[in-house]
Parts: sequence; C-alpha cells; structure tokens
Amino acid sequence: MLRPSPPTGSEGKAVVPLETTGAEAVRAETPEMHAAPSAESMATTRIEQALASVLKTLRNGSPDEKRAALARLRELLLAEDPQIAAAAVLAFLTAGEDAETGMEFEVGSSGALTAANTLRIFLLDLLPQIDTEASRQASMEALGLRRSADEWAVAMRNLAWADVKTGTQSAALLTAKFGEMIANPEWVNAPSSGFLEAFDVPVHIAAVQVMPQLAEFANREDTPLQQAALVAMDTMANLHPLEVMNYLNGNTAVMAERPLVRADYFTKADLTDARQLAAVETYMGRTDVSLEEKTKFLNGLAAPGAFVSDSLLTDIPKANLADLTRRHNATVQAAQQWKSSGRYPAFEEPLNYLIGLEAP
Amino acid sequence: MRPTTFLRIALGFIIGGVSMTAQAINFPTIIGEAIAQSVEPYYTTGRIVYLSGTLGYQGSATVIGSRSSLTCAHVLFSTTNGLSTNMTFRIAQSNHSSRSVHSASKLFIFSGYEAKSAAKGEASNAAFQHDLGGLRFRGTPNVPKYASWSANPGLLNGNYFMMSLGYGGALHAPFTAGRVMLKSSPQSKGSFQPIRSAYWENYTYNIEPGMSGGPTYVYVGGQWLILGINVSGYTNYSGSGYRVIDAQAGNFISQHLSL
Repeated sequence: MLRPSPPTGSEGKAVVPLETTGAEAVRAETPEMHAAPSAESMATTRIEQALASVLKTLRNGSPDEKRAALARLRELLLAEDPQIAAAAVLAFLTAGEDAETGMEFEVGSSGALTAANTLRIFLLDLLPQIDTEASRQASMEALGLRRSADEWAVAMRNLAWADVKTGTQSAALLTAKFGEMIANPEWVNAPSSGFLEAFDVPVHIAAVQVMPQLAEFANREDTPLQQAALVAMDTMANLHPLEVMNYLNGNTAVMAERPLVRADYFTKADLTDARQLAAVETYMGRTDVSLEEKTKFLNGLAAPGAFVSDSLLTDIPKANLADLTRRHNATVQAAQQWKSSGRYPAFEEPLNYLIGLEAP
Repeated sequence: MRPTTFLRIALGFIIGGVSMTAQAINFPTIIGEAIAQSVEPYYTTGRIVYLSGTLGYQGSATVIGSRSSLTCAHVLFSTTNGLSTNMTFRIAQSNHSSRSVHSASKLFIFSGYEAKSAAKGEASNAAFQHDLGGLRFRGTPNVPKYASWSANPGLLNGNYFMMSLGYGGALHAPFTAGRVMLKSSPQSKGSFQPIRSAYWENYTYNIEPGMSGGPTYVYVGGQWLILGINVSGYTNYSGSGYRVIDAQAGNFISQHLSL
C-alpha cells in the first residue's frame, strides 16, 4: 500500500502512517483533519511576519542588511494579493510601530522615493503601487497625526496621485495641510528633506495663495527654506504662469522685497495666450514696479529659466524647438507692437534686444 | 577649513597679488587662438557673458548638442538677482574672434527644493554638489563636433590625462580682459577627491574665476570626455572644485540638453 505523500511544507515532520497507528493518534497529527488556514490568512501572516522581521533588522542590522530587508519586503508586498497586502500595511501603520532605515529621504525621477528614512515612510511611499484607496486612507490618517513632515510629504503626494487616478478632489485639503506644515515651528526651524520636498505640493495644485508665505521664506537668507521657496515659486510660475501673474498683479506686496526674482516669474508667460499677454501688460503698467525690474523682465523674456530636479509631483517639460519657436515668435511680435505703439518709451533698448533675437 | 568661493567673476574685476609661478601647484595657462578654435576638444568651449541684476559677469560653457551647452548653475541664477539675462555665448573665443556667437533661448538649473544651495551660504560644499546647469542657445554652433561627456566620475582617478578649460577673468584679466581660453591640468597623478556627493576637489592645480561652468576633461581610449564642471576655487589659490557628472547629472543632460 502506498503511503500518502506529505502535504507541501510537512517534509521532515513526524507524520504517523495511517495503517500503523490507532485512529485517535492519526486525528491528532494529520493536517487534513484541521480547518485549513485560508490563503488570505496565510498571506496576511506572511506579511505580518515580514514586517516584524524588517522592524527587527532595521533596529539591529547593518546598513546592507537593512537595504536587503527593505528590498525583500517591497518584493513581497508587490507580489501578494493587493487587497491583502494593503490591509496588512494599513494595520501596521495604524499600530504606529516604526524604525529608522539609516537612509536619507530621497525623491526619484517618478516622484517615488529612492530612499525612505523610516519604515512607515517606506510603506506610505509603496502603498500607491499596491492599492490607491488604501494609500488614500493611510495618507489621510498620517495627515491626522503629526509624526513627521516627511510622512506628511509622502501622504500629500499620495493624495494628489489618488486625485489623478480616481478623480477625488484633495486640493483644498492639500492647501490647508501645506499651510499647517509651514506653520509648525518645530518643522520650520529644522526643516527635513521631506519638509522641503513638500514645497512641490502647492506647485502641483497651483495654490498661489501660499505665495506670501513662500515669499517670506525666500527672504530668509542662506537657509534651506529660501532655496525651497525660490524653487517652488519659480516652478509654479513655469507650470501655472497665468495664475501666478494674476496673483502677483493683485497682491503687489508679494515678492516686492526681491523684485528681480519677481520679474523672472513674468518671463514664463506664453505671449501667444491673450490672457497671459494681458497679465504681462498689466505688470508693465504697474507703478509700483521699478524700471530696473521691468527691464529685467523684458530681457528675461529672451531666455526664461527653469529649475529641474526629481520632485514629488511636478515635472518641468522638456524644451522642444517647435515650442521655443512659437514662443519666440510671439515675444518678438509683442515687442514689435509695444515699440511701434510707443507704449513703453523707457524700454527701447530691451525691446530692440528682443526684436533682434535670432530664432531658437 | 580653507575658504572656498564660486568662480563667477564680475567683468573687469581683477584679483592681484598672487604669483602664478611661486606656488607648488599648477596654474592656468593661455591657449592660443589656433588651438582654441581648431583643435578638439578646445573648440567646443566658449565664454558666456551675462547680466546678473544690472552687473555684467562672465563664465564658461561647452557645446554638447546642436543647441545645447553645459555650464554651472551659479552663472545662471543667484538668490538675490534671480535668473541671469542677456546671455551671449562666444564659442572658442580668442580675443575678438570666435567660431560663432549665440544668445540663449532657455536656461535650466539642475537644482531642486532640497538642493541646499543656500543652506550653508552659496560658497559651500552643499551648494557646489548641485552646481550644474545648461543653456539652450539660438542658432547652430559652428563646431566640427560636439563635446562628449560621461557619467563616470571614477575616471577622475589620476590615471588619465586631465585638463580644465574656461575663460579666466581674474589672474590673466589684466593682460587678456578675460577673452582668451585658459587651460589648467593637475600635476602628475594628482587625483580628485570626493568632498560631498558630486562635489570633488583637486589640490594640485587651480582654475580661476571666470572658468566657472567650463569643462573638466579626461582623455580615455582616444576620446575626450567631460567628467566634471568647474565650480569653485580657494581664495588663496590652493585648489579647485568640480561638480562631477554622475548618474543624476547624466539624466539631467539627457532629458533637457540632448538637442
């Protein structure tokens, strides 16, 4: 008589052959007699064990061991059933356990992190790849706590991503949360990498109403806040030129202390757009703007600039020749019109400079 | 710690009092017009003249595509004056002669929210590690070929011939008005040292203000490759600093300066 094969995973266990033992003993040892664990609970157990193991490694392991443990966890979470993985991660995040990874918070080219500084941030970063709704839920929970600005940065990014994917509307919440973030003295006084990267959130949603706070940060000389604020405002002007120009025209005190930088924000204007042309002409007509600032603006129209980096949400479009040519033609046409109409007699030199530019 | 400084130079500003021969370190030398304008890779490097606010400055850049050049970020932007304007790029300039002259159409600064360029003052290692930029210019450059680059800073190991090029507007300015190409090379086997991330230094040769944004080449396998960009020097001329081309910089170049 053939012996039954041991079920998978039972190799080496003392399974007693049926024909050689009494019935009671067989009942105690044969796996088929137990209620079999569901695939779901087995997956959950695997993930829970993996999370516990990673926590242990992060607390005691070497840098290489930590990296390897996180890589294995990522692989496992992306391989398991998304709903089960998401539920397990949500439960872990809700429980509040955490450990530092020994790495720095670092944003990659797609907005995903290339390195997370804590396990919770690693999981928050990974959740959008597993399940959008779980990511949204975990992010809302994270924003209800004040554990770290880095968590908030990833949580806000997740909500913005969820908006794109599912059509939810988080712009008002994101604006409010960004406002809370930059009003937190503890985070402002020692800005972390995630705190600074989160300046991309208002840029993404064109929250021009935060510009006064950004302008205030821009005046904090030689600080990380200054750099982040200047990059944020410049990028916002690149991606949302009309909104930024209209805001600055309506709020003349904003960036008045850094007028030559303010001029840059108007150089992003696409003068093929009548509304943007009108905003530029409003700016040129402002009596509070100096001749020096307006000259800087006109000169800057020839070669607007952009900050380029790996950011949480936004991406600066590549310059292509067709777009550069279209904008060049519109700029030269506007300059010619301004000159021939005698509208800006004090700016003949910069207007001639624009008119004389070679095509891109 | 020795004081480092950006190599941006206000036009007409002259630093005096440093002997170029009495130091145990190499100093830049002048490249003649024939070589600057006819020999690879010299003919791809040019002089940039621009305004930052209302003041004129000069820096250097290198043609790496049909309308693209590589330079450093601090010639393109300052926290006080914002973006530079009125850029003129004179390729292989030698006094009043150049291969071709171009104005810019777009500036790209490789620097993000967390770039820390202002975190510890502009002249800081943190700033230098992000000190990379590029400009798109108008018209087609009159060069036989474009400069090549490599995201392989490991080649800056002292085993290959290296040189940095640019347009010095300080030590040589009294004689050249900053309009001639300069070249400076490390002493034999003088290798580069990583200081902070992508910011490296070399203490066997100098570059001078105005050479900012110029290329640092290595000659490997019969090819000149840009491995770094000149970004800093010591105020006492005891070394020089470079933003090396790493993978991130390579991605930036491929994405935004590939034309």
